[in-house]
Amino acid sequence: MMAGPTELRQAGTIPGGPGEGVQVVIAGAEAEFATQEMTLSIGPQHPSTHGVLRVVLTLDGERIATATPVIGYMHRAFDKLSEVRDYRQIIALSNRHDWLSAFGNELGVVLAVEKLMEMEVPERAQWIRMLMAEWNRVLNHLMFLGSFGLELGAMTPMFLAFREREDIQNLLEAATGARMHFTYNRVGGLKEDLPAGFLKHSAALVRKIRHRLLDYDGLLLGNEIFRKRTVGIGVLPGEVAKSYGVSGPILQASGVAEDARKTEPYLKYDEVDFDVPVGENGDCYDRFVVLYRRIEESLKIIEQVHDKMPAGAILPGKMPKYIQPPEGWTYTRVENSLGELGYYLVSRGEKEPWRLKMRTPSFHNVSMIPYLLEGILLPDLIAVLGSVFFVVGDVDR
Amino acid sequence: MGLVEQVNFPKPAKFILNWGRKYSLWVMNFGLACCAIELIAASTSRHDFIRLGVIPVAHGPRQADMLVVAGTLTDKMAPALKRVYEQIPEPKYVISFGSCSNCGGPFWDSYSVTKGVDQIVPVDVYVPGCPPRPEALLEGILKLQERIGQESLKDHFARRRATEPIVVGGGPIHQTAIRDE
Amino acid sequence: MSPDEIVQHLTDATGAVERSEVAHGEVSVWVAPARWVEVATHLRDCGHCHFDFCTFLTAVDLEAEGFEVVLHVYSVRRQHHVNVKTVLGRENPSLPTLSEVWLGANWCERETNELFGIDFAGHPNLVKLLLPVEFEGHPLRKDFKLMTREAKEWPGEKEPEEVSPSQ
Repeated sequence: MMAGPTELRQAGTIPGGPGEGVQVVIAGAEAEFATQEMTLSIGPQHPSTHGVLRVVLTLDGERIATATPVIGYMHRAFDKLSEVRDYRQIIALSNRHDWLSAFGNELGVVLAVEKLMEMEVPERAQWIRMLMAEWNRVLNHLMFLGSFGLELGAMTPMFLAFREREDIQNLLEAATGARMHFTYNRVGGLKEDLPAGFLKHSAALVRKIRHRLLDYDGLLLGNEIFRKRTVGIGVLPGEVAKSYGVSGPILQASGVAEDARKTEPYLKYDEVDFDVPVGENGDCYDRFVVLYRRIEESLKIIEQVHDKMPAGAILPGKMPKYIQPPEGWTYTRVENSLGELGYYLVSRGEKEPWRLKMRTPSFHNVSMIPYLLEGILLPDLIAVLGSVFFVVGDVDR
Repeated sequence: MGLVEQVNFPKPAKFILNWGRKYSLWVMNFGLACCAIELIAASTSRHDFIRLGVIPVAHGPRQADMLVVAGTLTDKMAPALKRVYEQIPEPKYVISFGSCSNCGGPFWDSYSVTKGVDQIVPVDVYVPGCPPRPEALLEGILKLQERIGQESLKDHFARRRATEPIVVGGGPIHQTAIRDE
Repeated sequence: MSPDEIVQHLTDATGAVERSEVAHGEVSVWVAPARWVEVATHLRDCGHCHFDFCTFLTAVDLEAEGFEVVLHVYSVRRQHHVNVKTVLGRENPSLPTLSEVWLGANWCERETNELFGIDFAGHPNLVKLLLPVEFEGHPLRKDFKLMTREAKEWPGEKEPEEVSPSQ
């Protein structure tokens, strides 16, 4: 119900130009407009590429009063299912969670099991794993570069991103046999060795993508509309991010240079040279720029892996049919494309784990959304949601 | 009941009407999980199902002819699928894309997954794979177009009527927990 | 701090460590449920520990012994991890909430509550997070069986050689 103004009087005109208008003063200083908050439910099915995330907003005009993400529409019970599957099957199941960079999920599982078993993984397998993990990182980040542009109205980056993704997926398919869910890792090493000519194609693809990456820079990073919609929007301070458990590019954009590849190097990350790009303000623009820079760093790592790849075996001898790690517990983390992916594995010496918890980056990224959304305008919601990188399979597991 | 549901059209008229329908199947993307990425890949430049007339309308189900369910359907999401399906006007077709929507897929024993979207909506084409290649989706669309070309709309509507369940008093409204009320 | 130093520091500073274990370079300490929030607050605020990153909070079903709630935190500045664990009985398991100590614990506790049935006293909004409202039971408990597996044995249980060609 709107209380009408008690008195309207014309206080003058705003001079000059097409917007020359009338300035109106509403007399009766306590005459407030009474408004009603509206509840708007976005999702779970909506035309953006996020997936089945539902956000329930209460709006005060165009301003968001409260925001509640509702998740669970993709809860497929990985934790329970992994208690009845042996480790080969878990590798195949785990990569269906962060589906944009599936290799990282498998890598976490095998690293956890190998740590419990204190297994020595052959050198060549480690370098190949690193190569695959970095290609997967590029795949994932390209998708977000494309979809973020699409949300803000730019259609071209989406098609360009998929053009690049197709090339990379073809390359990875040559080695692993699958475009998306690779199931290439095995406990102790890899399924099979790389095909002949793979490294040559990989090097050519790196040059091609590095050249094409400039397109995104030209189309988006300097674009005034893009900057107006993202600079200063959705600022996340580093302390809040750490308390929520936010990791990966979002944490790095908030100024915290935390990357598991640098702080606790696994595989051979201590033998390659790369930087961790860090943002200054923690706004949407910084998150996007950090994503862009991470692709460049990943390409740098891939080139170094090409040079340093040794020959050798990819499995430490004949592996038993069923892997049975000894009794114990471990938490192993990898720096997946979206952040810190970790597995808390409790084993009781059987071929199935007693408890396997997947600690996913997207779960914590999405839990931080109410902090970012409260108090901003509705059109800024699109920019903020696009900049919080998450994959729904990772959120709900 | 309209004319189209009561009368069997003569062959030339049926040919032209079906030809118009099959080459303009606007699709409502119901991309849920990993298969959604392959669905998007099928719509972009390399594979491009838009050249077959299948345009991904993002505006909403009311402008669509076809629903592609790609990805795992959970019990929590099922009411939303049913609601979107009901909003698409007839004649409509459903493609179940991927092993999870065909039968539950790798999550066949999960406590929260619906084992197959055909429990919720009637499916016309099943595309198996985990995830299926975009080319598989193109083949599914082509096969569907062949079937539509020979279809008699009168039989289509009769079949739909026959399998539509009667729910006395309407179905349940589902709530989701947001606040501790 | 190295894992052993963490155990030593916590034992000296809080006196709440019941037992500890160091394995594969990682450290776990067990505390009593009554000291849960106190230990957590110390971990976050103490200058030596400086655990500011909430990694995860979950539970493990130990069958007869009850539920073991596991909290894992990390320090970005000091680059060390710690697992803090506590064991609760099977009947009415309950623990005070940590959502004021680390913001990320809020959702972790909601998830642990619905999957295991552990109550977190003082939590601002303890409703279901991942499961639908109508869902009955606590799925991650060991006595919750997956009905699809009970009804039919998974055909892949047998290796290809064991299956006769006619099947």
